[in-house]
Amino acid sequence: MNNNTTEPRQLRKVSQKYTRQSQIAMVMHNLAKNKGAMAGLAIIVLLALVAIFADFLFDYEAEVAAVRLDRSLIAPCLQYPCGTDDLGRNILACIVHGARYSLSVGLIATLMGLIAGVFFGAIAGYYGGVLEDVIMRCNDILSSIPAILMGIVIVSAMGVSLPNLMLAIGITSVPQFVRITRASVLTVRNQEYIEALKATGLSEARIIGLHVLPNCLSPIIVQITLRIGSAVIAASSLSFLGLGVPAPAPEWGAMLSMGRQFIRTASYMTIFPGMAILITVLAFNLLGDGLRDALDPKLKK
Amino acid sequence: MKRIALFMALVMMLSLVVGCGGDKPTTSTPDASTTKPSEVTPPAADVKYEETVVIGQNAKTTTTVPQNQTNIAHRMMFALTHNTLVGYVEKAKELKPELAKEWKVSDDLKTWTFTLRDDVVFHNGEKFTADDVVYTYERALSAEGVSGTVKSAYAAMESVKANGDYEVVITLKEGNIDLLYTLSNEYMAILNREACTADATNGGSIGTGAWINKEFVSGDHTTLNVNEKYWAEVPVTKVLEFRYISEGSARLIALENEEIDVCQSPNNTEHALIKANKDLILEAYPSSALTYLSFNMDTFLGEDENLRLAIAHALNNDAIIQGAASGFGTVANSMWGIDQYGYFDAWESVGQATYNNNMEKAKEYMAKSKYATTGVDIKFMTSTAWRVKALQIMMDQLKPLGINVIVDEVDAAGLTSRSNTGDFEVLMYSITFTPAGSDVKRIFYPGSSTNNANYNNARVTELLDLAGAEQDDAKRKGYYQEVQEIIHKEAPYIPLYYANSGAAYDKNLESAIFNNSGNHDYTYARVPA
Amino acid sequence: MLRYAIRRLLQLIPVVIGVSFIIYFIMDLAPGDIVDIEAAEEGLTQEQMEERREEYGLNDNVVIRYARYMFQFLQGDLGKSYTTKKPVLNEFMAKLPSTMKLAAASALVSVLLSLSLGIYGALHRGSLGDNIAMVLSFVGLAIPNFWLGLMLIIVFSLKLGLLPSGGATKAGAIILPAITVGTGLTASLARTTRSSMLDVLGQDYLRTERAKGTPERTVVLKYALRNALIPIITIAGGQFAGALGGSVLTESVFSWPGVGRLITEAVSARDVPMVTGGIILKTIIIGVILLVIDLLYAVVDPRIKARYSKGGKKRK
Repeated sequence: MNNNTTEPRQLRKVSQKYTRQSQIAMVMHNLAKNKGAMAGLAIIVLLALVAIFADFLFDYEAEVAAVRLDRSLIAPCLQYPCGTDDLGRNILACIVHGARYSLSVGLIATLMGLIAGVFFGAIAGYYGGVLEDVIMRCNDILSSIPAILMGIVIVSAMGVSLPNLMLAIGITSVPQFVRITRASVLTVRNQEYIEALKATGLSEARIIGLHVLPNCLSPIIVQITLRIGSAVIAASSLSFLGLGVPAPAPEWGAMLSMGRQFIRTASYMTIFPGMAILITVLAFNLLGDGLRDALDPKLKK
Repeated sequence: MKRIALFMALVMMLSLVVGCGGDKPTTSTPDASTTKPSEVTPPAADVKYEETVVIGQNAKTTTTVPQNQTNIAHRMMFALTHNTLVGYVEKAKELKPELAKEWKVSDDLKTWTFTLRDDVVFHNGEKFTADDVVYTYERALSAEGVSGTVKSAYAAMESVKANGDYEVVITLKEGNIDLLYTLSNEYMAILNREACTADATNGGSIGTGAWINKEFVSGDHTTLNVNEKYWAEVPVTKVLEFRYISEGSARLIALENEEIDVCQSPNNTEHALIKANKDLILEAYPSSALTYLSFNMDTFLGEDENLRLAIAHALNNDAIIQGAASGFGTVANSMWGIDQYGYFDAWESVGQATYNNNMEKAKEYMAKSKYATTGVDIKFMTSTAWRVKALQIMMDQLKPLGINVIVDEVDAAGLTSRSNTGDFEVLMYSITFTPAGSDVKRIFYPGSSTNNANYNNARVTELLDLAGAEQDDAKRKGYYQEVQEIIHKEAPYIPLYYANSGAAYDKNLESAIFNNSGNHDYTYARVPA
Repeated sequence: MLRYAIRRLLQLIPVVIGVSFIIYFIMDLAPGDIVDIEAAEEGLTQEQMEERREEYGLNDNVVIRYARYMFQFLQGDLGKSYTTKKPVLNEFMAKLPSTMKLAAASALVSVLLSLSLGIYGALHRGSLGDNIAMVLSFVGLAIPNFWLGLMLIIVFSLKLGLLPSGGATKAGAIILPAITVGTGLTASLARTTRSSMLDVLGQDYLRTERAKGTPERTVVLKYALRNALIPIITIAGGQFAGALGGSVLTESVFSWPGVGRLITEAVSARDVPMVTGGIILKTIIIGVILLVIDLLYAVVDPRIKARYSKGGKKRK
């Protein structure tokens, strides 16, 4: 790296591109060796496909939205592999359509946390000083409020809706991203190639965006995967308390909450959405964990 | 990879096995039959009884002072620890003497004279006298933390005066036939002057009842010890414990595990489990909680009576009960308490149609509505999951009329705040009426905060006033019938159903009385050892 | 080290002020207030509602209300709960012991589970057992807490009749909620145990021990585990703090009379002093616990102690 700064700009870019590609290849190679991570990845891809093609699999109006009291509470059978709920909705269809809600809450909430967290974390890490102190103090405040309580307060106050649910979970995931970004920016900030870039007169926004952050990516990527998992859990917890997605949306947590009355008489109403949450979160965690191992050279043995 | 996949497959298989086995759909036939009449019987002389009876509560209590709270969960507790001047026997729909032995009233229904018992002692050893009744009145109007209902009830009194130690004269500002009902509410319990002066916050916990407050942990449990010096018969049980278990399923499991002796309000969905258990008894009954829709009359809905009537006739109440209450409910045909004085629902006899599931009539009305051709979006506001479920069913039922129901879900506080400020179109909510006919003033009187429809009909107001001051039974019932006819014709409210409620208990439990209002009487509850 | 502790405690002050500010203002956004709820319960008239608002001081602007709240707060007064009319501090302290008990029991469950999974994984590295152990630790994290709680009640309390289904009064009542919360905390601890055991197992001195003929069990439990313990302790302390914050739903499923339920119920009752005060107190307690853990960490590891004594600015 040290030599790069003395080389012509073009050449440096090319070399960076190559090291980056080989890095990615190496990470992919490491990841492919990790069975858990690959299983997680496979499940995630499958879930994403299910969510995207939900309408082709089950008709929303007929199977999920319509109230069909004539077929309520049918235990799992060939026609309804996961049974039907008390309003006669096909539980499998609800889970398939619910994947959209659960995944989008997970993704968007994490994205919110990511954008805010990386922005403030990078600023804190890069500039240091008073700015860092202020940001980190605020971050301490935010992180010291237990996440579930924060979620309860926010959704109760702003009202039950999908965007508010995402916002509540997004806000509670900010502190983690701030801390991780700051920590990794700190390790990069004082390296000589950054000093050199500063000397070339490059704007600071560009330095941070193009040269500092890309070198801090690994912990952030790991955090994203893990966060999506916990966001799905958080969404279901809030839904369980009646603070999730408004009816009749078949969000998994809301299905659990509806089914809790039937936990003994029609346990399939809670078992299947519960399994859906479990498998999804497990998949993201396995992938995140695999990524951490693959990206962290220290663990390579 | 393979192993993990295998593991996952195993987990899935397991869940399928669990899902398929043992789960049968619950029966959905409404069942309101009482399996065992509950009444107080004298304890057998040769039987030993358990020292403690434990009751699993479905609602938490926050105070032990009667004047501070007025809901059923609290009133049930106050009935054990305190006494009122006049008692009310819900099963018999009868008033009975309690701390007052007898009473008489002046012709204008304004001056009420009560003769008090002279053998009653408070838990702190003080003798009960007329002065305590006067103090109770004074405290309600001046003390901190007194509930609004209690304040209003006492504020209707011009004065409360002691005439010697054992006579009290209550003078009302306006004549009211229902005073005795008001006095029978447990939150009107008589407090002790000395106790409350010594301890302003908790002195009110001391009463004259059969049970003494021993330990109270808000939101967890209340322990009562028997009052060996009770003026009436002393219960044989020594300790009565109330344990708050918020989850319905957990509460029932606690009963099945013999951790508690009574499970109040088990989940409707689990009634079948209770019936299948030989050691338990289920008592199910229509509660007096009426679930209804109210139209905000200050919006476009107020101007379109035909639209309101179309909705009223189109709704299939049976299906709503099925979906929202698992079939455990009784269709409501009048905007009135099912056990309330003056209830009327013989619509055909007065030339009106019963609302429930009459699509033909609904279409007739819809054709006359402003929105006959265009269709209309209406926001239905409500809170809690089961009401949202009911709205989903209504959504389905109103679609054929071109009415698009939009679910507007808020939490309890948001709901009351928005209904107070009139920030809604249609509201789905429930109300529990007291047995007194005049209680409907809460929803029909202009200006009342629970008049969610913002309904204002001069004739209805007049009729309610007339009924309140009328001594003749037939005339009063006539007034109340006319009120119900007007409401049925104008449909500011649509009554939907009375939710069934119930209690499950150990089959050995004796002498506990389960009332439709949910205000159960455990004074003499006992379990043979 | 004392100076470090004092500085950390002082740092809590702005955090507490910030927390109170955020919670107070978010709660103000909520539709409806305590008087609306009381009006529905008690059937208040409009005038009575106005009177009540005046009593509670709800008619003032939120900034004024917050200033008043903070003024009282700085004098050590957290105000009275709107619903129970009792001091917030008393209400909170009444529920704190059971929350602490549950958190401690959950942390214990989590430590026992993670140590077994982590050590097993490290000793059988790469085997099927290792894989399953690690997946299992994640399953704990992925299971929705309340769902697991209900399932445990059905199996252990109803079907087997082994344990009480809820409440805090009966012996053994803590076991099921502790397992419910504890499994959720296992994942990271099990991973840490495994990797730090792996680090230690590869060290030369263990090879020496083995060469001396020390039985494998002693090598693992006495020498390896002891040296791997430092990172494990830090995380376990964090688990305790996490259990304090994360037991809200479990408390409700098991009717556990804890702080989480107190605050949750206060939110829906719009009991602003209870919510704000409760969260402030919880924040302070978690902050103090984390500090104690850091100090313990320093006691265990002399290298860290040295760093504190220099008053190093390394720590956050």
